[in-house]
Amino acid sequence: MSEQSRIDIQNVTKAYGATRAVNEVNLRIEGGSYCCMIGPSGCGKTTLLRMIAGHEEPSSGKILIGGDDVTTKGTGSRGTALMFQNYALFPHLSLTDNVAFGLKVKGVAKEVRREKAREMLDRVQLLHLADRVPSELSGGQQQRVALARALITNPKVLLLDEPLSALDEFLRLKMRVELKRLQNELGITFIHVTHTQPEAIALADQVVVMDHGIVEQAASPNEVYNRPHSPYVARFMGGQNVLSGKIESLSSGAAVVMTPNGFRHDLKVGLGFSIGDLVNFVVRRDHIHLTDVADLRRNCATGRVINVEYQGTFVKLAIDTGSREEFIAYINDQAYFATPKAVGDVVNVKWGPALNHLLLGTNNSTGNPSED
Amino acid sequence: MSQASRKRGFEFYVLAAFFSLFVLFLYGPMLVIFILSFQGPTGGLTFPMRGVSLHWFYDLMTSGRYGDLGGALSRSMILGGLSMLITVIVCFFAGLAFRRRFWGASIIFYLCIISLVVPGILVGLGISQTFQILGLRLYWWLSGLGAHLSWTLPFGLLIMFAVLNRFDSSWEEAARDAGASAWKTLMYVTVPILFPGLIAVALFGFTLSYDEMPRSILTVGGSNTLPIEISNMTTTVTTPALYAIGTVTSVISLLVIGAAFASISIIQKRRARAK
Repeated sequence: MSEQSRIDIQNVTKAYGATRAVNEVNLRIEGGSYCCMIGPSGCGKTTLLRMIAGHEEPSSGKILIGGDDVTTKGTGSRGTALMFQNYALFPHLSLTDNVAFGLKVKGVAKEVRREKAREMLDRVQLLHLADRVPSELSGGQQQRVALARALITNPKVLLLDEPLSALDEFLRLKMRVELKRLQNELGITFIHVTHTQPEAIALADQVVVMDHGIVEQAASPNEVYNRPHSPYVARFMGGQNVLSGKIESLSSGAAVVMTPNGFRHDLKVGLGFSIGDLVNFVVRRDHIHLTDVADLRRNCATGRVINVEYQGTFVKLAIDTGSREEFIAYINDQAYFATPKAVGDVVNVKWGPALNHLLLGTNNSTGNPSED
Repeated sequence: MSQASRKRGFEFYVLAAFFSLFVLFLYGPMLVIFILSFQGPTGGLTFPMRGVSLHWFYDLMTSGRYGDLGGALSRSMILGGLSMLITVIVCFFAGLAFRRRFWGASIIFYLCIISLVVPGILVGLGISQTFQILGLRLYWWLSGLGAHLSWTLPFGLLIMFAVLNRFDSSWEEAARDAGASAWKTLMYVTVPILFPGLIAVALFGFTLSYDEMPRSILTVGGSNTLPIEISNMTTTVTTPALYAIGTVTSVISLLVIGAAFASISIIQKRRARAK
């Protein structure tokens, strides 16, 4: 199964006139995995999805599914099924006939295909509504019908274009669980396009972060979240403070970096760097502590509190440290309420030297940082 | 405060009076003709009614005094049917084509609109002149049909635009995604979803042709269509048979419109509760 449903995207470009919606993308999506493509609107994720589905043809490059070159193969004959963002259910057909549609065009006899469709509707718990038409359903129900319709032809790959974006918060979380369960059951490849970071982290085996038609990072959610490739990925995935500075001293891959606002930080940089180089690095917001002035030498910052938000299990402090971006610290709520801070107070924060993670990529765009 | 509990002002009565006048003006004459067509055998063109009878309808069908009325009616029906068929097919595909910005799309669109704007009598004159120059004879089913299409096609296209406005092309994509060929997508998805709209286009195609006079006068050749025949009758016939023909043609129009609306609402109901 997994070999058959592996997807290889080789040097794929999609150009619309002078603009490149997708720009020389190379990507392998393992068969049977749950892949989330994430990025701000216009980053090319939907275009890439539509090319895999066969609704768009690449300007150059190849797309392979299970080792077969399907670049120019028609949609509907390459083992993929696309679930549309607005579901695109046929308004003139009952749920049964909507779901049976894929079998109808393949010439399956009426009774056989209706029976199969009813089985599929039962699977998404909608059998009792089989004779209704889509306009009589709620958004969540429509989505389950769309899912059933996509799965009726036993696709190797299910493509989901922002499947949860039209649902309210409660349903979104519920459907998220159902999608993951379904993927586990079926064992086929899911490719899910989203612009919501928690959704990607929660669902994916592989997260593909895109920006301006380029894949910035494709890795496990843990990797993408903890070891982002570039300032853009760090900002877009959230949970990190992005810092930058010049290397001040260097000994066997361990550097001391001086930030423009006058703080020194320990940073492992490996080989290929020299003194004076400008580097970007990140530090996780939830590993930062408030501290007294006394031990402020490295891996610390000082600044004025500009915002305090209580988040239940932690308190989110925004601190102006004199750099362009505000520094965010998630402070354990017990520690915080022992010595609460007010907006305008000067505070000191510090963290362990091992938390500083070097960013190799240079994409410094802000994306649209989605906060958690 | 709800609307109902508010006291109706002076404006309400002014507007209500204006609306009543409008309705009276619109339907009054039609009603008068309808009533007078049931005039008794000795009755005249005006009130009072001298008894009530179907005499003038009978007269219309049997008497030779009214020229080729039956022929004119059947010609108009055939012409309306042909216009309807061609309008639906052409406008459907033209509407689909206009969804893409093909080369010359806006020029073709404006040419269509011009054909709506130019006075019909001029279009008719142009067509008859062209036929003469080409040495062709005028026939109602040829030059007449062409003249009618110059009116029904652009009209149908505009309606088709309105119909397609509410059509989501991701339905077609979903069909292709499920493996449907272009032909199956058209037959299983596009046409069925657009069907009520196509009935509306058909309706306009028929009625616009059925009562078209300016474009017909100079293009139908030797045999008249119904509107021309009736127009001629108004100068020669001085009996309530004139009203009877008005009633008959109105009833035919209403039947066609009624059938169209009935089929639209049946389709809508079937969709609202499939099976």
